[in-house]
Amino acid sequence: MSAVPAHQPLTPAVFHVLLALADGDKHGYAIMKSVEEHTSGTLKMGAGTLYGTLQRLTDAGWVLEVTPPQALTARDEKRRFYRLTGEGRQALGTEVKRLEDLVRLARRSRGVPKTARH
Amino acid sequence: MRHAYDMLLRLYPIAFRRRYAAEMSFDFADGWAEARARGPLAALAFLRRAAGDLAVSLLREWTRGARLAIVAATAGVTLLLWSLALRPWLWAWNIRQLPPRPATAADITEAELLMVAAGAMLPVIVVLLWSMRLLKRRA
Repeated sequence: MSAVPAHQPLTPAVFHVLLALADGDKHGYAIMKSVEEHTSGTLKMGAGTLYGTLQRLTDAGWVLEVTPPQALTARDEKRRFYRLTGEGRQALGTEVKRLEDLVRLARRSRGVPKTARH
Repeated sequence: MRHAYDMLLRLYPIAFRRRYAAEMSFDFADGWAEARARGPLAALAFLRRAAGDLAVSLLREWTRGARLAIVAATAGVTLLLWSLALRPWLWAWNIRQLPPRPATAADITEAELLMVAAGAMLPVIVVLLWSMRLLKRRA
């Protein structure tokens, strides 16, 4: 099974799943809704893409399955919940730092239109 | 609609299906109910998105871990077919010019070559996928 490389730019799917789980434990559908919300509806992740990504992240040790929290609806009790591990949080932090550095570099560049520098 | 989606979920590799099919089915049901509540256009867009996701993720799951082998096999078969088409062993390697000859029925046409290419690549890919899964299972 292919693990997620630790020091490479993350794919948008991996990045958004990690970001969704940074807020707290979620089940698959909640992750999908969270990604949609974070991206203002521009990225709507399908179930196949989501669970394929979750499988890779679980295998890499960045995400783990946890027991559902108490006080859930009967429907949610049947679902699996996912949690970001320390390694996953670290990978997300590394990616955010990389993106920040890129944006800083782009803003310093004279070739970038002024409207994009704010 | 959910029943049809559940049937399509059977196309995923068995390990993936056992792990995630129930959740995918739940998510589809929730998404479908939400989209239907927003109207027929939203429902249609949801179905289109679900179909696209299914096609892409099916391919991804079946080729996971075997992509390099598929690329190598495709390159190998392409090379073989091009060499069959160009037939370098029939080239006149000496400078002497050969007289032009009219095409005969024995010459391979481009359409035939494409058909052979498609036909040859399919079993190679299937065998590769199968052997990769077998190796993985043994490991």
